[in-house]
Amino acid sequence: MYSVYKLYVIATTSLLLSFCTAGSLSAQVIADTLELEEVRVEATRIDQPLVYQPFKVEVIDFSRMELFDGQDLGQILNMESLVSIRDNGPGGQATISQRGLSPEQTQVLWEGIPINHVTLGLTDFSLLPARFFSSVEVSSGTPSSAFGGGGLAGAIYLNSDITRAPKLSITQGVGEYGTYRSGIQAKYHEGGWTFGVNGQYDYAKNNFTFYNRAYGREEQRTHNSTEQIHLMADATYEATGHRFETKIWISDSNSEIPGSVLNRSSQARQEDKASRWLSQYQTSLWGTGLTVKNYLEQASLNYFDSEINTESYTQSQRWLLSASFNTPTTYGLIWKGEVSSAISGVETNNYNEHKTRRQFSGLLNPELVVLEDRLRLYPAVRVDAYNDFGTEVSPSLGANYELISDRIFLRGQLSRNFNPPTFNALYWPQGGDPDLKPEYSTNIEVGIISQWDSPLMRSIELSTYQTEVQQGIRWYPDSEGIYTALNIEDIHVRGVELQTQSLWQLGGDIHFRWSQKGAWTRSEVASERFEGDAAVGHQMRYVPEWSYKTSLEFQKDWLRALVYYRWTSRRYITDTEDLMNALDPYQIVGVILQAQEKIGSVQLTGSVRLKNILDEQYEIIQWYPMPGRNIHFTITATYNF
Amino acid sequence: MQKQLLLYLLILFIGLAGCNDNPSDSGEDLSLASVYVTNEGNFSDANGSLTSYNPLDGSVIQQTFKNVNGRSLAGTIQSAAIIDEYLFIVLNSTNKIEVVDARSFTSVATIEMETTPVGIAPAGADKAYVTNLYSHNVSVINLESFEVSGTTIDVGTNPQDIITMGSHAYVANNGFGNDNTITVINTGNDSVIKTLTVGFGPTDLASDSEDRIWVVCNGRIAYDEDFNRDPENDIPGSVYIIDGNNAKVISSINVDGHPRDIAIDDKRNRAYLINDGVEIINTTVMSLEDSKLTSRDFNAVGYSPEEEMIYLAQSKGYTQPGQVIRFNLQGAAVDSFAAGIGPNGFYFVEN
Repeated sequence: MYSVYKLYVIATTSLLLSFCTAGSLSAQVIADTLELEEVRVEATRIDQPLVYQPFKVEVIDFSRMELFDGQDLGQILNMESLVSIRDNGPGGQATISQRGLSPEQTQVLWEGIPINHVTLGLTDFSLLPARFFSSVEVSSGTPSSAFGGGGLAGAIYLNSDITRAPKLSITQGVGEYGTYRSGIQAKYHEGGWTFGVNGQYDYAKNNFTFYNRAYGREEQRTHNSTEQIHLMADATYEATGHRFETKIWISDSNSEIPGSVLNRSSQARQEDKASRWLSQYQTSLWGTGLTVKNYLEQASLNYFDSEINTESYTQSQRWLLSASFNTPTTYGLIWKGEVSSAISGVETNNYNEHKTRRQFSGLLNPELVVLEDRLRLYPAVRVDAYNDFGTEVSPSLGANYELISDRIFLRGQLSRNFNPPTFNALYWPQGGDPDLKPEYSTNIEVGIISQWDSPLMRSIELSTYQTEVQQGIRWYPDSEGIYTALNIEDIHVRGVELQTQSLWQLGGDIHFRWSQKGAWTRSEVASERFEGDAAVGHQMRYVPEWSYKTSLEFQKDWLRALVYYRWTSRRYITDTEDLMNALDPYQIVGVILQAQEKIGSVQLTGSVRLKNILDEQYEIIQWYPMPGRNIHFTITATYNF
Repeated sequence: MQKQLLLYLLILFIGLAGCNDNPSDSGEDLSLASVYVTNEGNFSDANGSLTSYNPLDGSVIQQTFKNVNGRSLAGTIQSAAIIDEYLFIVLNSTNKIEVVDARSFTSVATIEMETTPVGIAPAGADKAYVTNLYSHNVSVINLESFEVSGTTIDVGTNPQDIITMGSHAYVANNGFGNDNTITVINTGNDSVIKTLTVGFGPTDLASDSEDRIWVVCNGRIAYDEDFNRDPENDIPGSVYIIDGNNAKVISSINVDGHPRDIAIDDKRNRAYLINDGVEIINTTVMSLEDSKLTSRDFNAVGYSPEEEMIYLAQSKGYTQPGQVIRFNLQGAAVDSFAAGIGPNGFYFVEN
């Protein structure tokens, strides 16, 4: 079955690529231009453009996401944002570290709904295909007052308004180490209704060659294939004063788990399935905007390893219901708020009984514009009442001051945040502790954003922040060697982030966009977790102190190209910054070329992705090699109705 | 561990090292070190290492293998042994045995195992035995070719430490607390002679100058059906003493808790036992003394006869280096030095 599919993908990709290169076809100007738009942000729950936000938000927009079609979200975040993706390599897990904190301390939101796995408290970004998201917001300052607990380090906000106009689009992709992909997107309007569907099938053998430094020889990755199916369907009805939308997102992934390169006989595999259904209704009543959301989720995470006689079955469910309001007044004040209720449940053969968590929340987050529309204040307070560990109050205060009109904006935020313990931390039979307390953090961020008309420097942003995490949860071996979840870790994080963007036009139809981002992150254990703890004052494991990312995008008529570069400094494997136990710095260069042609009413888009051009040998996670130079092709045929 | 034999061989090779014109590639004279510490490392990071310590001047060399060979050991160290002129370092997670020239530490061979090796001991001429944790047997290593021979010897469950005395090899069948046997193998024909019954969870073996083998039995740490700790059903640990020449149990000592390592001071007829502090055993009467050497908890113990010092390894979790604290015979801490991650064994050399 797989070999038939493989032949089919190669044949169709070749055919479509040959159309793209046919000289007689008419060129089509790529629709999305390299213009900086007034970017609106949803990840902060502050209904203001990007420049008026109280803290830094990185937005990977629709145009950019299209260019990255064919990759998973982990790869895109690694290229495009200042977060650090802990990538176990193709076929492996990819989790996030934001501002020096752990994956469980970043909240991942889909259309405003938290989707971190209930038991693990994190998201595997390798399971999220770029094609399913119209934009991604990296909001390192999103406080708990916005969407509730879970985001000591901030939030990743995923939007999935995929297709904007009626169309039918078919995609085929093929790449090195046995990568094949098929996708379909369609959108249809009828009266006030819009229907959309987005489907994708991915298969990758991931049998790349690497240098195994444990044995001093070249080897090929084995037992590393992945197969993923994603389907998203939505229906929207719009009429004057009303909007109803319902979306279903189903994903099914089967992965072989090779383990590290030290394990040459892995038999492990994992199944991830999720069904998510989000419905929302928006209307306006007496000048007040009202939104009601209903979300249902069922997910399963099953792990099998015959070598160690492990069969782990985990089913989780989540139901969330919320109602929010938005009332503008004539005094520069917008009253906003929300009440919500959620139930989460887990059934697994790892716990001794079914576990549930119930939650009721209330939020008040008004926005106030004063001082001749120059000063924006964003106070917020949220109360989350849980059945299993009491009530948490999360206040925050953000501000944005327009120092020079449309040019320079000063911003800052102070917030108190919390992160509830994951189900595994509470209930894992050996080491879980039902009496665990939430983690807390106090975050402060101050920054400046400046934008100009100058082509060489269109915008520049500088942010500094400090985060103090208290009673952080860490699994630590007890006297019998059993790893146990404990509220023992205080972390002190500080950092500086700088990003610039240049945009210029040559000869009328040649556009360039140059982005640069750099970060300094110092994330340290702040106090002794046990007597004689040598970690105090040292950088946390796997957190790079320095990182730099840049990309140059070029567009002319039917051709679009992106060259990107990423450098990441040394990461330590120990708590004590031991140079002998560290992963070397690495740099990655890649190119994406995209061309469009039109045949009648069908538009063909072909793209080539050349990754790791320098053939750098590197690891992001110890003993999990990343592939060397590799190439991938994608072709998309789109029929616009 | 067959520390006596190790000691003998180390003395031999240190003597040879004295004639060496080419010290190690690291630029350090490793022969100065008279104490070698194995550091288990973190399982997921596979960063086990060796620390070399010179008690004469207090100098310490970390990551000895990496310094010399330019690559990590890559694995978690389970044990080590010096056989002939080679040091054999047994690693799991990578399931291999790194063989280095014991004088220069340069890599000689890597023996890749299909099993999960734990303990190693010489077994007559040109061969060694390696215990396999999950396949419940012992592999035979050819010391000429540094390859695993096709022969395996079935033993009890989850074997860990192994020690040889004369023509007998003794295997501690730990069973993670569910086995209570020692398998005795005839090293001449690789066959099992007999199986001795000892306390539950035999884990560590040591020999003394009277050819007795001391078996540290960890006992069993019990969990109920819901995987919660069930201390009421714990089986406490014990120490069994075997006549190494006749392969017979001589005596046993019941101890509370779950002991894990032992070191023997033949001169004073004492043994030091890691058991929620450091217990002292009178090896003549084979019983515990009333007071402990120290109540501080440690991972591993070693005794240096030349210095008459007790070395105790303290782990600080598996993400930061542990340390070694040296105690005098009266139980006072004298000094300390840094080790690697999870120090778990000592090997001494008389200069």
